[in-house]
Amino acid sequence: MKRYWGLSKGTIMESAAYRGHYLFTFVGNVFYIILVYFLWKSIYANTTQQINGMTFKETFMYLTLAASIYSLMQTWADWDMSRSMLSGNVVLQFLKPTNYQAYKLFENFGVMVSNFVVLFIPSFILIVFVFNANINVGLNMAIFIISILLAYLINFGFDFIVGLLSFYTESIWGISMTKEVIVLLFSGAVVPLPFFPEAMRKILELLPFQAIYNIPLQILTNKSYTVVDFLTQILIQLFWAAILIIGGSLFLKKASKIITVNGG
Amino acid sequence: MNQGFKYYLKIYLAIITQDIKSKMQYRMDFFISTLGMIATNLSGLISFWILFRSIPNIQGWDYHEMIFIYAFSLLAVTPVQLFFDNLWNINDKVLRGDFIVYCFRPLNIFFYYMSEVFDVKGLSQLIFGCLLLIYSWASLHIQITVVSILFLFVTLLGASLVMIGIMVLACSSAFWITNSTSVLVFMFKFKDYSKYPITIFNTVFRFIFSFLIPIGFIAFYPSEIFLRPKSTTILALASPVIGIAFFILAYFVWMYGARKYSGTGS
Repeated sequence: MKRYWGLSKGTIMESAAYRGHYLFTFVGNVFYIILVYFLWKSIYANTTQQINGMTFKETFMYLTLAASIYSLMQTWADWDMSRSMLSGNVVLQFLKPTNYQAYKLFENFGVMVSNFVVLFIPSFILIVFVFNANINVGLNMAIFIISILLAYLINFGFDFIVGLLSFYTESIWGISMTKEVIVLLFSGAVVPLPFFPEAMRKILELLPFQAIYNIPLQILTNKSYTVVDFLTQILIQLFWAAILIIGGSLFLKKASKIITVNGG
Repeated sequence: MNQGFKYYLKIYLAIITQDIKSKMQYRMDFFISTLGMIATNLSGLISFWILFRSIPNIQGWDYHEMIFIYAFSLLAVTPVQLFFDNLWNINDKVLRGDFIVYCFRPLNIFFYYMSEVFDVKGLSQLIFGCLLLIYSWASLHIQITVVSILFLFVTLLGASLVMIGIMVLACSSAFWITNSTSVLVFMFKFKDYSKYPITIFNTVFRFIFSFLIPIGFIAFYPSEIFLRPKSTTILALASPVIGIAFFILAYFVWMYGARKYSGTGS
């Protein structure tokens, strides 16, 4: 286990070198929060009431927090895998006395931790204090952290599978983009899930995408959640995390056979 | 340096042919990238569709009008993706010193650098944007006249130049700072904001998005000419001029940066 933590620590230190990148990403997030604020303010201008059972404040909080979680999940695992496959460096990672999937998981976990400190916390503070969102402080905070970790596992599961797919396609932009668009739209990060047509929403609730954004957000903001609800949601996340990680490792066995590295 | 337009066109076609030939090696990449492009564009359309099931309009702009603005923004963003995709490689080239190659050719540096890559996946966005524009144009019963078609081309050209200007300016940052890719990513995201009416913002941000980061001119102001012909503002009519002026500004900043580039010494 120790060697895996070493990987995470390494990437945390590496991230520290990209201060400029973080600054621009954070300012970009702030602009996005501003856009969401004005856009939904004018959407709600027609009505003083709720739309689909959500008030302006709830919608605003939901979407901006979703964006903050999005910046947390940006670890570029799939891009990384594709790049090392094309350059041939991937053999070095296969040669190490570690499991390749775990290697990638912990390496990117370090990026996630850096994102959490540098991007998520400032955005969260901005959303809660400047825009005056009201969030319960209590048990939900602790469970939120667990939920975020599970969301990371699920998101990594997707990234890893897409990364392996790139071993076959030898290109990443298209599949990574498609994955990102599907995850963001179907998880309710662009338009909140309650706005979707009934039938569509029922299907989306059965899919793993909502477990990345919707579940952590509900845990954090839904005031009617009881301990049973918390447990059910966490169990759903655990289920999807297990499916995707196991699926990924099975796929790895197949995909690792097709890697060709041209000497060098 | 004084060779004419024809000379440059000939060189451009020669370079592009080589680029496309090399890309033909990766046909799979073309199909998958096209898929990614269409997925991105579709998701924008689907989110509007979902949103407008619950609300009648956004500040008086209804579903089809929003689709018109969205289609306009997609078309305006297409040229920067088709012809200027090499700007995404600037950081690498400048840092590794490869950029010096471009300084040694008897050609305009800007032209030579940008001509090197032609991004085929942008073509799918061009088709998608055209279909969407035709659909909303028909749904809104906007008259098709010679004047309106002419206006469409002029305003689209102006809007594309604004988008190109924004990205070229972002690209120039590579000559001064070391992580210019972050700047490019940061600026490129604003294209997603251009599909919303600028009027949703308050005065401060309306000013920022009109004059500092002029994304209002990518889709909203020019679309006003077609959607609100009676109350068209001066900003809407000025959009082609602003596009040209902004592009020229961006060009000179880029050239200034490129000329002071001194390589890495390797």
